[in-house]
Amino acid sequence: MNMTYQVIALAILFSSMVTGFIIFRMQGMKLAPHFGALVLALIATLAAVITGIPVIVVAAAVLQVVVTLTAYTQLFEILRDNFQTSPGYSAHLALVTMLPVLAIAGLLM
Amino acid sequence: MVKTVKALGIRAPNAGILVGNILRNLEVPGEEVRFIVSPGAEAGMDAVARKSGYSVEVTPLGKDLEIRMTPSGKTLEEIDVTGETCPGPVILVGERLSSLAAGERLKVKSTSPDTLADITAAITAAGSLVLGQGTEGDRHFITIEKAEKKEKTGEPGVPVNRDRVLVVQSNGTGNAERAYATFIFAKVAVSMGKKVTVFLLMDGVSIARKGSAAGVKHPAFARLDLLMDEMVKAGVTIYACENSAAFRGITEKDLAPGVKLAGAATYIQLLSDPSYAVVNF
Amino acid sequence: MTYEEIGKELIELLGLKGSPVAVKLARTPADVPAGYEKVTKKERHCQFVQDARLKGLTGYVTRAEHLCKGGAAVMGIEPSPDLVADGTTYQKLGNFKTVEGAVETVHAIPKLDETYFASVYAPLDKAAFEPDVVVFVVTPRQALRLSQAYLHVSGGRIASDYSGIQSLCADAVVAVKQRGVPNMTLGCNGSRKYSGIAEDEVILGFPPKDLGAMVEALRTFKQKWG
Repeated sequence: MNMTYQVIALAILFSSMVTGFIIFRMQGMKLAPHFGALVLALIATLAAVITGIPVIVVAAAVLQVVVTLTAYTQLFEILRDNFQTSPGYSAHLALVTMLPVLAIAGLLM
Repeated sequence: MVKTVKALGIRAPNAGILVGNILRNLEVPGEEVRFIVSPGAEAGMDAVARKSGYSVEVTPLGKDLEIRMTPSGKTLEEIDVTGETCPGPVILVGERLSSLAAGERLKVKSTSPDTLADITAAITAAGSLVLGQGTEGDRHFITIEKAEKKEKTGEPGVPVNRDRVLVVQSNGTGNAERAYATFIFAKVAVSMGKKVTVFLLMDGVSIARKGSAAGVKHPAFARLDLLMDEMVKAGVTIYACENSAAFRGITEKDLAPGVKLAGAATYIQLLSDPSYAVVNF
Repeated sequence: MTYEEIGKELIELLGLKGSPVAVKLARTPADVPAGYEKVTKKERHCQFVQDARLKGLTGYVTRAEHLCKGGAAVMGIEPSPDLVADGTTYQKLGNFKTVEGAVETVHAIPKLDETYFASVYAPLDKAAFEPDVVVFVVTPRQALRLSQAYLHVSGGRIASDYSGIQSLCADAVVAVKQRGVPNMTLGCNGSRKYSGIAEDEVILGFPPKDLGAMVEALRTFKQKWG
């Protein structure tokens, strides 16, 4: 396990908190499941970086993937029909879309 | 309906005798009566009211006086909107007024004078009157008299009634605040007696897709689809721009209940109609 | 009781000269009673009342036939002439020392806010319509009996108000129609001059709904007082 990827994921999760908060204000309660996953992933990733315990690292990686999945499930309808407002969501989506790659890399490399 | 009787230029005690006789000889016994009298007529009117089974309220009306005789036991309706935030107070008052007959009164209380100012604007636009205002402890209050809105004539040079509202929505579910505002404004306008049309175009048509509005929820308000459904039932017309819908693959069968497709001509016709005030979201 | 019976009995019980006069204000031409024809001569409202009372005039009168514009105005048949409304007319005629006094009085005159198409007249015993008001031109003694008859059932007092202008129109018709209670008036310069109301006559307006009970009362008075 290479903890470098977890540190990068942690940085992305921190940034995602900011972009997530911005889109949460635009979209409201629909994003609550995604925001919950994001907070859990941030805590788990922070714990993984500090402790290096393999189980926690794996849990953090899983939660990072969940963050990405929930972002898309919750925003799918908006992306489908909202052409003008969807750019407002792009920064957050771009950040969380990096997470699965980093999660897998952290576990395999 | 409250009966109005003008009896100007008559002083007490004759005014009291006349008012007593009128109350005894009403076509509808026990109906509420509003007397317009001259100053000097009001003395002894409370005794007349008591004897006739009425309670009396005297208020200035220009240089005359209004003496309102309300059958005893029938107290002035009251509503306290303290703690409610916009548009709650306007809607609550509008709903209560709709249950009253023309000429009947409602006392509205709030700790916020700004809220009462907002209500004043709404109810006067709908044709009703604010008869008085004041404070009771920490509450400010206004007294409203419901009146039927007078229709303007179609004479040349006379402006038409601007009694319709067109709410244009072009941001869709991607911006929850604007999506909510669309239907909250519609709700307020309906409570003010306006005829409301919502036109969804560009991203706005995302609201029209069946099930889509159910995903928009703010803790302080009902789910957007419920609010939308309430407006449809209240007679609000909701159009979705045909082109914008086609652009997003939304067809007639995908539309939420109560939403109709409309072309650009409908939109332009609505914008060109001077009876519509237009709000954009 | 029908209005024909009431009218006839009132004439007999009170010994009236002429008939009580049924007056109705018609909002539209459709409100004019069927069979009633337009009166072609131009007169004042008080003259039409007197014609109905003494000559049996039956018919309706529109704005064009009303010569007294002030009278027609309070009955909603035409807009109030500016010089009447602002007090100038009555101040110039000498009724009031100041314009302010004239305005005060004009403001207080009973006036219908709604617009009417015509006034309809008929002797009460011949009225084929539901009147708004029944006007009596009577002697003070007959006015006394009418007042007593009105109070016979429920008692109380009668309050009458007038200002010496616009009498048979505003005081005897409009005030009674608006309030639903009787009013007595002493005429005005116009009605005394043009309509032949005698020196010893006064005018009363009654709501038609009260007349049945008043006839009953007058019968009682006749038995008791002769």
